[in-house]
Amino acid sequence: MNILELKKQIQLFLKTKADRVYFRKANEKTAFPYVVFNFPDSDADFFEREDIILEVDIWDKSNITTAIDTLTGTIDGNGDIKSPTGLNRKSINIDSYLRAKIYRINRYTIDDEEKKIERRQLRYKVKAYLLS
Amino acid sequence: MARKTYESRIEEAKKKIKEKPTTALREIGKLLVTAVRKKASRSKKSRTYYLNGKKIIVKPGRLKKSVGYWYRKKENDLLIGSKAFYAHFEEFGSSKNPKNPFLMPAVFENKDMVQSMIMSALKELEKDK
Repeated sequence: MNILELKKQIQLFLKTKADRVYFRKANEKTAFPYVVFNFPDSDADFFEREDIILEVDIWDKSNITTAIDTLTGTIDGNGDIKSPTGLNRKSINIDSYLRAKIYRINRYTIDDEEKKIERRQLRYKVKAYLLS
Repeated sequence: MARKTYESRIEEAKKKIKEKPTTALREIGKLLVTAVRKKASRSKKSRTYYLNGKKIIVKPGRLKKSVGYWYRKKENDLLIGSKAFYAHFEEFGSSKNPKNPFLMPAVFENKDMVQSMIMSALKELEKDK
């Protein structure tokens, strides 16, 4: 499955929530806070469906965690089935080609080598259906 | 004596579970530790990590050795993990080091094996009733 369109859609959505959004890697000089997303794994064992893992990392450098937690909450959203405000349970439709629904698997608080750096990770499963 | 392969270990574990199904979690733990150790990278040189501003040099192979399983009797569950302080830097990456996941991929790759072993243990327990 070509995930280029999916990547574009997710990047566009994340850009509405955060100013600095990067795919896979951020520049070393990027100002905090910023968001990095990645598709590390996928599972195509299903008929006309592929489960793609989406990782969203939120990085901040501050002693106060309010900003990063607020940003994480906004990206994740309310998880409402009908009208989700964030990534959790969001539907993505790419014209007559692909339908995808995003479900959150887990959220992590990850310690970093540098004490001041705060990091949150949201892990999602993107259930993508190819339309024939 | 010939070295045991991963496949022969699985067969051995299946036999043990058939004989004593209550040990299923322990057997699964042993197998998963072998799988995780296979995935854990062994660097050629010593690596440097920073923890709370302190520079710590880690010798090659420490991550592999630190992987273990803990069968908790009271909670009746199984934990797979590592005792190394830098294990999560390897698994998730950090601002200074790229990620090199070893735990989650190994466990997910062996998901079917774990499920089949639990199934066989449950079947054996059902027979005993």
